[in-house]
Amino acid sequence: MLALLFGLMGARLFMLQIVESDEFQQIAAEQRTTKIEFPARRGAVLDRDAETMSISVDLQVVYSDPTLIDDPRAVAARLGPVLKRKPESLVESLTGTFAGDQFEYVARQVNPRVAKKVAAMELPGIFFEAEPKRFYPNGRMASHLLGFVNVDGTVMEGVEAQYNNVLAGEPGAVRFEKDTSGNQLPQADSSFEQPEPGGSILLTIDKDIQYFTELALADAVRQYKAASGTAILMRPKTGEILALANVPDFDPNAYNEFSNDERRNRALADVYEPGSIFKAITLAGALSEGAVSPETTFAVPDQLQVADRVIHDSSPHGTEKMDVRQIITESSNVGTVMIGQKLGAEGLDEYVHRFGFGSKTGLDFPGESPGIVRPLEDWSGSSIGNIPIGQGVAVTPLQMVSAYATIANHGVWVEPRVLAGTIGGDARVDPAAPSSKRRVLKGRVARTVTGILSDVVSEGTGLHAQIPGYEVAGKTGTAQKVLEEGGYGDDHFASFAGYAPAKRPEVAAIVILDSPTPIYGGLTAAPTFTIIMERALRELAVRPSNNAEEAARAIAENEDRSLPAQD
Amino acid sequence: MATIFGEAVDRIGGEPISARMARKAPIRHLDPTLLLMTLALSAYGALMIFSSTASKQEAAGGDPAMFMKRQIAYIVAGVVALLVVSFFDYRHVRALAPVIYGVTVLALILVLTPLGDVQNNARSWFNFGLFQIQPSEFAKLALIVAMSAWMAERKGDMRWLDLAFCLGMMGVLSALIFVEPDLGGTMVIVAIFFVMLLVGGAKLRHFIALGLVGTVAIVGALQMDVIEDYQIERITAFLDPDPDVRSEGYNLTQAKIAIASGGLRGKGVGSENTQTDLDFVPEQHTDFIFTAVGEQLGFVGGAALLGLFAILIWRSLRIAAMARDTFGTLVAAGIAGMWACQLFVNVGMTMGIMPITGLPLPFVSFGGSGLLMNFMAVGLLLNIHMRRFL
Repeated sequence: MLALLFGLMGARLFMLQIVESDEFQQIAAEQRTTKIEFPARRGAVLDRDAETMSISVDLQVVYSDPTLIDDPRAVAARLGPVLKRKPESLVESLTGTFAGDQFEYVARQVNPRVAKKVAAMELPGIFFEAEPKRFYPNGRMASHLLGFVNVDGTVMEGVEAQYNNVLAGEPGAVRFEKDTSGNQLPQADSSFEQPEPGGSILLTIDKDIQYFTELALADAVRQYKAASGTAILMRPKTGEILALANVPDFDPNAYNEFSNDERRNRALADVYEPGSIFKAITLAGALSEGAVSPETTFAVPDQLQVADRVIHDSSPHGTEKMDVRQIITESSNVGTVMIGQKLGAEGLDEYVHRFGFGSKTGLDFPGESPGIVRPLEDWSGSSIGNIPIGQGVAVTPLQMVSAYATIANHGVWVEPRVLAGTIGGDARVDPAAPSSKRRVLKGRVARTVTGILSDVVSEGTGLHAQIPGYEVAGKTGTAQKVLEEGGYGDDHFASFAGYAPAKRPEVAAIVILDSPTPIYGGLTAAPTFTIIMERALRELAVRPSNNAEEAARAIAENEDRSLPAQD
Repeated sequence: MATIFGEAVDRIGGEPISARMARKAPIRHLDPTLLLMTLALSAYGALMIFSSTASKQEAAGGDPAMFMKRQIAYIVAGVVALLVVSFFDYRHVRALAPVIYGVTVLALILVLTPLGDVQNNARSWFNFGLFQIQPSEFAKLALIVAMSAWMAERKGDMRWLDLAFCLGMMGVLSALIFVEPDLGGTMVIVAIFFVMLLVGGAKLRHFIALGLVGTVAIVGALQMDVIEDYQIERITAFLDPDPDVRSEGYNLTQAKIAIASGGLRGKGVGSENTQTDLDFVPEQHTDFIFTAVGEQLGFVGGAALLGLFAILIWRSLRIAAMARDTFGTLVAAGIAGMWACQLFVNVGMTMGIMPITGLPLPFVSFGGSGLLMNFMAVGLLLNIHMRRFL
C-alpha cells in the first residue's frame, strides 16, 4: 500500500519533470511574457494627382491600471475637466471592472495636446499610448469609395479594406517578461520590433472631377426631389474610374454617426432594373450576329403580345414602319423587342453575359453585387419580351457604365479599376498592372452602335445630353421600380449612360436617379450627365470635335423644338 | 529467531536478552535514523522556506530570512517538545489519553468562539501574539493516542460498540475541524481513523458498515449544502485536465508549471526561479512548498525528499512492529499513517493527482503548530522504541 503511494508519487514526479517538462516551461514562459503591439503608421490614400484623400494622424489613447489607483473618484475629478468628460463617467474605467484589472481605456483618440496636459498631472496608474487615427481631410468627398477605418483600426470598407494589405504595414511589438504584479523583469529577455509603415496608394480618381460630380449629383437629387442618386465616370480605354459618387453619402471621419443606408456604396452594391438604357445591349447583339442592320425595317405596332405579356410603347401610335435606328433613337419598346426576337433568346443571353452582366466587374470591392441575370434555361416565354428592354434583369451602375465604356472603346471591355499605383517605403511609384481586357464586339459593330447612340442625343430622347462642341453618344432610361413584394410600383429609376466625344471617347459616364420628378431619364438624368460630362471633358482638356458655332446653333434650334416622347 | 537456536541465542550469560537490554538506559535503544530523518527534513524545509520567501521579503523591504528564522525557532521548540515527550514513559501517555482527548476537544470548541483568530477565512488559530497555536494539528495526535488507548484495551478484538465509540471520537474531532473550515485537516483525521482501525484489528464487516455510513453521510452533506460550492469546485478542479489558468485551476496549474519547469536537476536554489520568485504559486512556503522543491531542485530534489519520507515512515512502521505493547504499536502505526496520508495528499495535490486542500507537508512546510505536533510525534515514536524492552 505504501509502496503503491510512493510509486505513484515518484511516477507522477517523473512524468511532470522529465517527460512533460518542456510543455510546462512553454506555458510558464507564455504567462510571463507580455506583448504590446504598436500599430504601424497606415499609408495614405492619394488621388491620381497625389492629392490626399485619407491619411493617418497620431492621437493618444489614455488608459489606466486600476490596481495602482487608490482613489478613483479623486483621479476622475481631476481628469474630467481636461478630457472634457463628466468625472462620474470616468470612475468605472479607473476602478476596474474586476478584481486585479490592470487595463482599462480611459479615453481614446485624444488630441496630443490634451494628452500632454494629462501627463503633466503625473497621476499614478494613468498611462498613454500612441494611437493613429484615420483622417479624411476632404470630409464627405468620395466617402463610399474610400471607406473608413474604425477606432481599433480593423473594420473597414472601400479602398481602405480593398488595399489594406498595402496600407496597413506591419505592427511593431515589445515583448517583455513580468511578474504577477505586472512589473517588468529587468534581467529577463525583452525584444523590440520596429513597426513597418504601410505603403500609400494612388487612385485613378481625380479629386476635382470627383468633387464637381458630387456637387452636380447632390444638386440633381435636390432639384428633382430624388430619393438617392449615383454617378460614375470612367475612362473607356483604361478602365480607370475618374469619379464615383452616391447620394446620400457620409463623413468617414465620423462614420458611426451615419446609418448603413448612408454608408452603402450604391454604385456597386445596389442592383436595379436598367430599363431602356439596356436596349443598347440588345442592339449591339443583334448587329453583331447579323440579325439586323441599322436599316432593317419593322412594322411596329404600339403594343405586342409576347407569351402571357403585352408590351407597350410609352405613347400610343398606329402601326409604323420603323428602321432599327429609329427604334432606338425613339426608344420603342415594341420595336426593340422585335429586334430581340430576331436575335433570339440564346443570342441575347450570350451578349448579356459578354457585356459582363451577372458577374462582378473585377473591381472586386467589398460588397459588390454581381447583379441578377436569370440563366437561359430559366427564361419564361415572356423573357424575350422584357429582357431586350432592360426588364427582368438587375444590374449595378458600375456594370452598366462598363458596358457603355465597352461600346465606346470600340468593342473592347476593360475591367474597371480605382488603383493607379502604390508607393512603397522608397517613395517610388509602382504603377498598377493594366486592367484585363476582352473583345465583346467587332470594332465595326461598336462604331455602328455609337452612330445610333449619337442620334439618340442629337435627335432622339437624349436631347438634354448635348454638350456644345462635343458629340455625345448615349441612351436614356426610365425604368419602373420593382416592388419588394414583386410587380411594379409608381416609382421609377431615371438614368442616362453615355460617352463623349462619340468618335474618340475619353470619358464614359452613368447617372442614375431614384424616383425623381419628373420621372424621365431624358429630363433628369440626362441634364445631370451633361453638367458632369462637360466639366470632366474640360478638366481632362479633351479637344472639342466639331465646330463650336455650329454646335451652339444646333442647341438653340433644339430649344425651340418640343422634346420627343420620352421612354 | 528464538525457535531455531533456542536458549543459545535468546540468552547471553544466563540472562534473557530482553532483560539484559532492559537494564540499559532507554537512551541506548534510540533510533538515530528516525531522528536524523526528522532533522534532515526540517532542515530541507527551512532552506526551501528561505528560497521561496527571500525575494518577496526583500522586495517588501523586510528581512529576507525572516520566515526561515521563525521556522528554525519552531524547530528548536520542536526539539525541546520531542525531548520532553520522549523522556517520560509513553505508558503514562496511555493513562492520560482521556485527558488529552478532552483538552483537544475543548480547544477545538474554543477556537470556534471569538477567542479564535481568523486567517484565510478559517477560524483555526489561537493568537498569543508572539506565536500562534492551531489546535487542529494537535487533534491528529490526540486522536491517535485516544484510539490507541481504547483499542489496546480490546487487544485486537473489535466489537461493534468499540467501532461506534471510535467513530464517535473521530466524528467529534472531524466535525469541529470541518466547521473552521479546514477540509484538509478533516481528511487527515478521517484517514488516521481508518489506518488505526486497520492496524487495530477491525473486521471486514466493520469496514463495509463504515462504507455504507460514509456514503450516506457524504450524500447527505451534499444534499444539505453543508459543503460549500467552492470546496466542491476545488476538489473537482484536479480532475479537469485543462482548467482555465486564471480561475479554479489556477493554483494547480501554477504548481504543475513550477514542478515541471524544474526538469531533472532543477534551476538551482536562489537562481532565477521564475515561478517561485515571481509569486506565481500561492502559499508556496506553506502548503505548496513541494513546488519550490520541484522547481529549484528538480526531479533529483523531489525524489530525494520522497526518499527521506520513505525512510521516516519505514522507521515508524518498524517501531510499530517492534513495540513492547499493543498501545505502542497502534500509536506508531497511526503516526506513520498520518504522515503517509499528509505526504500523499500534499505532494499529490501539487502534481494534480489529488484534490487541492489546505494541508501542510510534515516537517517541511512553514508553520509552528504542525512542526511542534510532528516533533512530538517523533518524540512519542522514539519513546516507544527506547522502552521496547521495559
